[in-house]
Amino acid sequence: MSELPAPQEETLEGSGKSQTPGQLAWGQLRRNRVAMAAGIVVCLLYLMAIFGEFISPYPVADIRPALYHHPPTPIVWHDAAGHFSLQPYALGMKKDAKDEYVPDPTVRAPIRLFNTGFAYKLLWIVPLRIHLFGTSGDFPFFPLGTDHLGRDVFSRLVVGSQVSLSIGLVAIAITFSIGLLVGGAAGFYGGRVDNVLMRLCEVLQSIPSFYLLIALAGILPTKIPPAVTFLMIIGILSFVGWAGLARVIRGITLSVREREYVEAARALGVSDFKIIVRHLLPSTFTIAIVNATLAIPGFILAEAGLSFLGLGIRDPVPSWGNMLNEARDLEVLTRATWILAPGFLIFITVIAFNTLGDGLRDALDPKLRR
Amino acid sequence: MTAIETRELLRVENLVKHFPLRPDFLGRSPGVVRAVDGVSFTVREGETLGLVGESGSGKSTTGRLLMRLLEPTSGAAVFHGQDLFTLKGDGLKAMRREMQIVFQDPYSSLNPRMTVGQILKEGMEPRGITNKAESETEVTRLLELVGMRSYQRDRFPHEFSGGQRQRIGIARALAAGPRLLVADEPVSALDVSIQAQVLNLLLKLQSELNLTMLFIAHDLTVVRHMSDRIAVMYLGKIVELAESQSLYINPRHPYTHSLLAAIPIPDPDVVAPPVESNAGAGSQGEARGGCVYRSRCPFAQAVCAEEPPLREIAPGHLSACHFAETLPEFSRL
Amino acid sequence: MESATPASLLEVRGLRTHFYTDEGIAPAVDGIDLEILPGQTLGLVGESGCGKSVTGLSLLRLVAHPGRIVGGEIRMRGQNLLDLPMNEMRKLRGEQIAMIFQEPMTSLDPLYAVRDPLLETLRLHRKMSKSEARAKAVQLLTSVGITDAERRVDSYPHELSGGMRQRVMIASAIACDPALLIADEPTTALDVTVQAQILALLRKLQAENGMAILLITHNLGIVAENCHHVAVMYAGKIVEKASMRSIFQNPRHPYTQGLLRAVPRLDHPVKQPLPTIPGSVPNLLHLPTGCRFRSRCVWAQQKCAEEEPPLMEVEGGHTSACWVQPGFTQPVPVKEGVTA
Repeated sequence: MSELPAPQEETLEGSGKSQTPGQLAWGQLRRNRVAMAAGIVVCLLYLMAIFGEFISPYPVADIRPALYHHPPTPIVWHDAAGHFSLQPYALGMKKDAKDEYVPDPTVRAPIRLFNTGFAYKLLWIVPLRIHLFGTSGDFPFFPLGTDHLGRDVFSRLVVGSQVSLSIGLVAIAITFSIGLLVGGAAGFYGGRVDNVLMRLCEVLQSIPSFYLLIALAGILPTKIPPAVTFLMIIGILSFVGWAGLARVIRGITLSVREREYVEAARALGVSDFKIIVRHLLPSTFTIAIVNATLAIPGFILAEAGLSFLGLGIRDPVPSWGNMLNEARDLEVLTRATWILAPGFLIFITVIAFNTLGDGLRDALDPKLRR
Repeated sequence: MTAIETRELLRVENLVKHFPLRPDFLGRSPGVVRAVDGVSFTVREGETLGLVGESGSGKSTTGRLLMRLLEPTSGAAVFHGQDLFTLKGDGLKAMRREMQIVFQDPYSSLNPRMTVGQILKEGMEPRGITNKAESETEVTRLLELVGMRSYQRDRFPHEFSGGQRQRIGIARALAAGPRLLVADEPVSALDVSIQAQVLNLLLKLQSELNLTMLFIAHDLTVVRHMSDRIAVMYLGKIVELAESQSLYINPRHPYTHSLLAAIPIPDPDVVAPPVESNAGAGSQGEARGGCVYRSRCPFAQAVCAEEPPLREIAPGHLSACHFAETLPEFSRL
Repeated sequence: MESATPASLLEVRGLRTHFYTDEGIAPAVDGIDLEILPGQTLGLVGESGCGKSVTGLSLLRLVAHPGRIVGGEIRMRGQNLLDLPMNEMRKLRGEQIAMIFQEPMTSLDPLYAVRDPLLETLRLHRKMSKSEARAKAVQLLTSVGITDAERRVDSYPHELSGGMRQRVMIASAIACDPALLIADEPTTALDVTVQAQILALLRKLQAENGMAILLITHNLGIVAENCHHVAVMYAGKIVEKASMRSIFQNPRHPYTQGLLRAVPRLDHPVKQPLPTIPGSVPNLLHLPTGCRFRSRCVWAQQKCAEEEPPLMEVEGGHTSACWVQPGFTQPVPVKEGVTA
């Protein structure tokens, strides 16, 4: 009699290692190239923020009134004699008869990697003077030109990202926490608790958010230090934003509460608290993460809007929003188009977050899986 | 099946559960859904009582009421000498050790984010095992009890088939060490060949662990296969209760007749009996009072406007029909 | 290769429908042959994942991404349906071949009254005017056993019970008098008494209109009461085909035999363990070599691992895809490693 095969190995997938639903979702996300690209962009943006001062050639407060609205410095790849060189050079500029800047080939300076520049603290701890690139001494090298006070736009852009990007993150963390608490409680307890909390959310949501932001920001005193302003802006954004997330979390909590595995836990006499922590909260995370990712652009735009109007982060602390303030003047805009650079970066950031959020949602949606 | 040494484990008396219908916008309530409407039965230690009925019969609600997942509108139950519905706190916790439930849907009854081991450990909570080594040994014992392997404790539910998930659900229910297992449609969502495996498992566990079972299902042949006695439910009431064999050979209620007539038998020589013309689980909206089955019953008479009590018409055989004794003979066998 | 019976309404030859998933290609239907005779019911039996639903969808070319029909022929009245351009296929749907599904709750659009799917199909295929179509719709509802059809035709799905919704589905399916009705588990979601009525209705419609039915189900009792011929599917293949009587009286494939033994019966003693089929259905992405059933089969031999058995004739019109083809009354061997 021939050998019988053993009864088939009783797991569905191949006998490979076990995967948590989280790992499954990650695998799904990786297959989505566009979302992964967006994710990389987001990472790069935050890296830029973290290493802001390292990347920027000049301090953000460095005013050079004589060089206001200097166009982006031309970069050339040949030496004085006209031969190709791997060493890039920055060309000087001078004003011509029409009082416009034109390149001056006679004045040039080499652009060096890991240049020595102004002093700063890497990651706010390590005192350094090395920068990613730059020219020595006072040579005016402005990769993206200067603003109306002669400040280097590129440096301000890079350092400004710290404010713009971090506000989004901190605000979402706070909003998330409040939303989780309120939404979770409303969904789990139902009844009057649910009623009261949801009516509160509705009241908050019925106020047009941008006007609420302006109103709140308008009552901020003007003479407070920038750090405090920063925190207060975050506070305002969170205050306006938590209601939406709370409602979403309430919805998920309601649906998970009815699932049979929660009933099973109740039948086992597991305490309410343990049920919330063990069964309900983890289920809310997936949707909450997607919502959070999609909400961050909203916060970034809100901050940019407030700062643009002069109600948020104020000069001289750079933020993408207040840098765009200059662009309000049409004359300035036509003469010094590079002023729009922060707007472009906001655009990239928002698209990257939205694309990543969409990809996350598709990866985490069990119905779309396989 | 002797009646000697059969101790009563569970006695249910006049269990009632009404669900209020949503009030209209003026706040007036249109009434209630009588999901369970005065149900009484007993379950003896070591036996399986089958609860069978179609949708809306109240069988699942009964199971949930007994598990205290829902609170009754009125009625009482005595479980192992204790008043089930007044238990609180420690008493309730102790009861949770004695009585557990297996659910129908193998896909939603297990938390997808927990490993099998974690799920089973949650099942052991009523026992309060804190020693890690002890709980690990228990997990192994439970997995082997349901025919699975110890290494599978680190896997997640989505890696298993429906039949295996159901085994995990059974293991979880047994983790607390219960005397009474409420099985709420445990095989309805499974394929035929897997159903047989899980049913065999339940039979084996019952005899090994001396379990008492309340087996709830809509499939009559499955219920008969698993139960010593069967209660047939319709619209919240028990209409007939008898030993399994008696129910199928000598049904004494028109609803039982129609249920039996409707079962498709896998035998080419058995002809399908003519179907009743106004079947379809009745709704609560029908005329209140009197026999619940009145509007569909081919034998209904004027006296049926008076609700027939569930009474014993032969030893161990109860029926809620005024004409129980005189109904025509009926058998599908 | 079986020669085509001249009387066949629909003939399927070598149908293959594969699913292109991220983890690989799953051959949900992997080379099947079927014959549906006019006015008769063919039962397609199998458990979940065997490919029976996909087969039904393939006949109407309704298989959705990532599934695709990759081979074979579906011949109706001499014409291969897989060669038809899409607009011709659409004309055929609802008119020549109709389909009803398992879930009456979701098969009807809740925003439209019951008359609307009926009117839609009547006006599309029969070019009726609104009033003609409405009259016919009422008539159809009555013919499927809905009382008070004149009033009911304007109801919405949520006002009807599951059984009534299924009747509405049937009414819209038979509205244009199709030659073939594909019924995919039409009663699985219904109560047993309602199930009996719906199946009786289908038998009545078949007798009155001469409609052929492909009844897809996992319930052998339903097969015995409603089908003239039966095809048993397992893991994408047909493992046995016979007349209904032959399948029950002389099943030859171990899977069919296993299914018949595993069903609880009213004439069995109470609380006795059932003979089961050990193991579970193989993962379509990792099919074993040779016979797909062999890892669960107590009769398996060396040859079963080497070569996949084709459908072989047992007796006239009865075929089985098994090298061993044990008799049903032979005692079942107990083998090491295969737990019963």
